[in-house]
Amino acid sequence: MNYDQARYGDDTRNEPLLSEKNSTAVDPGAGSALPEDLTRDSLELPGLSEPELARHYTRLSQMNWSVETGPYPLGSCTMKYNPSFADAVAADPNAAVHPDRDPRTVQGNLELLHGLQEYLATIGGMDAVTLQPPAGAAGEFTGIAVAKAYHEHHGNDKSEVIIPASAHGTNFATAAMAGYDVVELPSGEDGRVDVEALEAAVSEDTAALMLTNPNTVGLFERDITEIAEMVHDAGGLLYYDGANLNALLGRARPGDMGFDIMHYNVHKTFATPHGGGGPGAGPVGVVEELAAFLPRPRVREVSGSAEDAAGDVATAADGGALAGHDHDHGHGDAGDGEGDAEYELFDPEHSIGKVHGFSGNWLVLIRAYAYIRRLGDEGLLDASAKATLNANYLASLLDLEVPYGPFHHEFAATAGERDAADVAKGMLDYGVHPPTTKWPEMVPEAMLTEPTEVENRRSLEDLANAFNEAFADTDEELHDAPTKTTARRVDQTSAARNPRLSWQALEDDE
Amino acid sequence: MSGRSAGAGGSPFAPHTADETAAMLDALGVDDETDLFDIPEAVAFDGEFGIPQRDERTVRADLRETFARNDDLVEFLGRGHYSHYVPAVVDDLSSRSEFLTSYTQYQPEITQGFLQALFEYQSILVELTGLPIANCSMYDAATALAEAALLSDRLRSTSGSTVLVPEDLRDGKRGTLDNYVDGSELTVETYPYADNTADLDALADSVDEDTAFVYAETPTVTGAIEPELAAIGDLADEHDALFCVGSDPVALSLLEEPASVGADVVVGEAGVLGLPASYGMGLGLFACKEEYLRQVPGRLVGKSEDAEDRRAFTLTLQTREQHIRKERATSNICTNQAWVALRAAMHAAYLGPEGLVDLAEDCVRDAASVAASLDALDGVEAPLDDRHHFREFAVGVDDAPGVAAGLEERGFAVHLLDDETLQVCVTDLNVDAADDLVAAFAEVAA
Repeated sequence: MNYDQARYGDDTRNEPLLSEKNSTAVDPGAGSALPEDLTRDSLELPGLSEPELARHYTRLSQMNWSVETGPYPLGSCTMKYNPSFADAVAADPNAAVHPDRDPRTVQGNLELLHGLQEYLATIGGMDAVTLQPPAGAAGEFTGIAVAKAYHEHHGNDKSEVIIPASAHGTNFATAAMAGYDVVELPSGEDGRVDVEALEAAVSEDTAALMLTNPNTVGLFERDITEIAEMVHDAGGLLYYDGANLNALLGRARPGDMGFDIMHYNVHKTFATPHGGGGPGAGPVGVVEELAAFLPRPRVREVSGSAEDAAGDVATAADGGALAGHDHDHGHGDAGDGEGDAEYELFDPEHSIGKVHGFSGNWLVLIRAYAYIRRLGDEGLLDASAKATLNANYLASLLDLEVPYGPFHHEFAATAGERDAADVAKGMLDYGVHPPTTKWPEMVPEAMLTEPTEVENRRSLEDLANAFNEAFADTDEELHDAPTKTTARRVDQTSAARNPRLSWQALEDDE
Repeated sequence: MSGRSAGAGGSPFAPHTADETAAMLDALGVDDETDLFDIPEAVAFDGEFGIPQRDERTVRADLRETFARNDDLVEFLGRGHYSHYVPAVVDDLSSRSEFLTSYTQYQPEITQGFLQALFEYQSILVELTGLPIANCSMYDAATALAEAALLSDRLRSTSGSTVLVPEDLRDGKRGTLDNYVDGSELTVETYPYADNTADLDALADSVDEDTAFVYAETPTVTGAIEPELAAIGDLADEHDALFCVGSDPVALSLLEEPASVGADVVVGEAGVLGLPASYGMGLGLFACKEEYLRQVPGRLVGKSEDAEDRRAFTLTLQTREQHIRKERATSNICTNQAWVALRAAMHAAYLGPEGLVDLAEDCVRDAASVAASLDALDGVEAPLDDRHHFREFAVGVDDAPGVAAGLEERGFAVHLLDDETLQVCVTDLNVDAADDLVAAFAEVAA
């Protein structure tokens, strides 16, 4: 595909920095109502007129790749299309309230939070959910803190968390932050958990096993029931990293596999925008035994108010559409608001406390709820179907080998003798974003690829073409790539060796 | 031509036509997508959550109805979450899909736009704090404070294991801090306030060789401007403890520069710029001295050059981070609040230094004038201390729950702190209703 990324500027730089467009120094203390010793002497910052500001950021946006620009198949990141209607819903001015409002006066917010707790519980096969963690890693931290509180409450002396070598880096960092020793589990030959190695690693010191399923090369851990039993027999808990939940929507639930705790990456599975690196949200679900340890506060229906709402129009309509269904969470649409049901905040009995100053990334949670409501059972099931179909179809078109299978929503191709990072740079010139590279390490020169369900056949073929062309390029060609992006190959070494992290630091440098 | 699968109840965001799906399945040699799944029967789920699919218009209408359940109150609320007017151009530009639907800049060549925006955000915070290093964001003020405390635990230049924080710290910050330090050697202790800012004598008694970290806020949770920052910084310094100041970018536009009072780290809520009231969603400000660079949590954008020697930006010093360093990383943070940081930088550049200082000055003057109007009422005392205030202040009344209820009936929300104390926060977004608030106070507090 012909492709050239926007490039503004001259031979030395792109679009100038804000500070290069305007910089003004003022004396904030002059004329202040505050005494001089409480105010600063000077403040020097850029100030742009609105037209200048609009042009600056529009140009920056054009120098940036996004899901709406083209394929963005970063493995483990689930870069789905982010539907516009969810943005519109989140912009509702009635939802823009302060977190300290009396819960009686923000029943709409509580209704949505309660509904999302219920939806996520149902989708994960969990019994209770907190929406407070503001990102996946924060969810992991919350989940492991809950496990720790549970063990301490029961007088269990636990010191270790077991994590497969191929797991996300956040798992290791999270366990260490919570004060646990990390036991790294080598991968089995088939790319899955080596059950014998796990047996050797599990002991009475095991607080938890953190697992992603399907794992980071897209394989389902077929021995999950046996694994769960092994960990539970040792008094440990099973933690599910929700990064790959998109593969399982409607087809398997972590709760049914024996997991006790899980986090959901709503910016992955439930299509909320990644925002250039956040905000996301990382709700955590747990089984009944652990519910009392979740962060405070949670939302619940005021007892008795559901009966009051029985016969409510919305409930009757949804219930009617669902007649005959029988699932764990009982009546009709578990996450649907009951019209005039009342909600309240409550603190779980043995709550670990807080993991965020308030109640998390509200604007993200709204979008996730709207997305689940839009898709419903059929849409969720189709998302996992098409995500898996797309990954398999894309892989079938590649000249690169995919050592492990059968995979689901993502696969790890190997660049073999080539440098995966170089192949990725080559791909940039074909109007696609490359996959995650050189990870997981169990695949040499890995290119971890997750196209998601949002690419059509043509776009997958374009992506495959980019892979194959770059893979076939000479070393010299790859070394010179990319050539069509805003920047040519960026010197990482110089950036790290001589850190220049602000425009103030550039004054000495240029 | 066959219809899209969405027409048959699939995902509206999976673009496959039935023909396309059939051709792809055929190429893979399977009859159905389910044949591609390798899920043991024992743990398979039947796909029935009981959630009906709804069209876009219905979802929007449902949620409009849901949010309409919120009472329409004029909020005079703050205590860590503040709302200033955000110009429409910030909404427009930040919502450009090239920003909103991108992710972490793992490939700098194709993401120069966002990298530059984050570099500019870092630079704005460097100017406001006076400290040379600012990261791309933490989740919010609470997690930024907690990460700062953990930083002190990793440094060789600090000794001890006690984290000292004000006794009057918001529960969300204290609770988050307690959880974050739980896996470290640190323990959290408090020092008292006198007149709503640090009690310097009591603090001097509390700081000792075992102190690793001293935290002070300006403005404090009740809006008082801390007059003794330099003295607190000296106490921390004398005992080889890290001195951390909590503030926000609007306050920092006017108040003493933290670096000039000896701050080693500055944390706080940067979402006061760019982010309207959002039920507690935030943007964690994190800035520090150069010597802690290799111990900083979170993402950093640095300047470099590309192969044509043109200036380029890139994520840098990533060996601190979890995806490289795993259990030895400086933090587990990965996804952060980048898009909110983008908005904060836009808002700051829109206001410029004069606009920022004017906004901050209004936060001082409006708080003082509303406090004076309330103080003039019978049965109302405001503020409850002799400090200068920023945005907010405590209000004394005989029956605070009764007054709060009366105000709510009249359409106002204020903080209820205890039986005799309320708190009122004034910003550009509610100041036009301040006279009405005072009139309502006069009716219910007399």
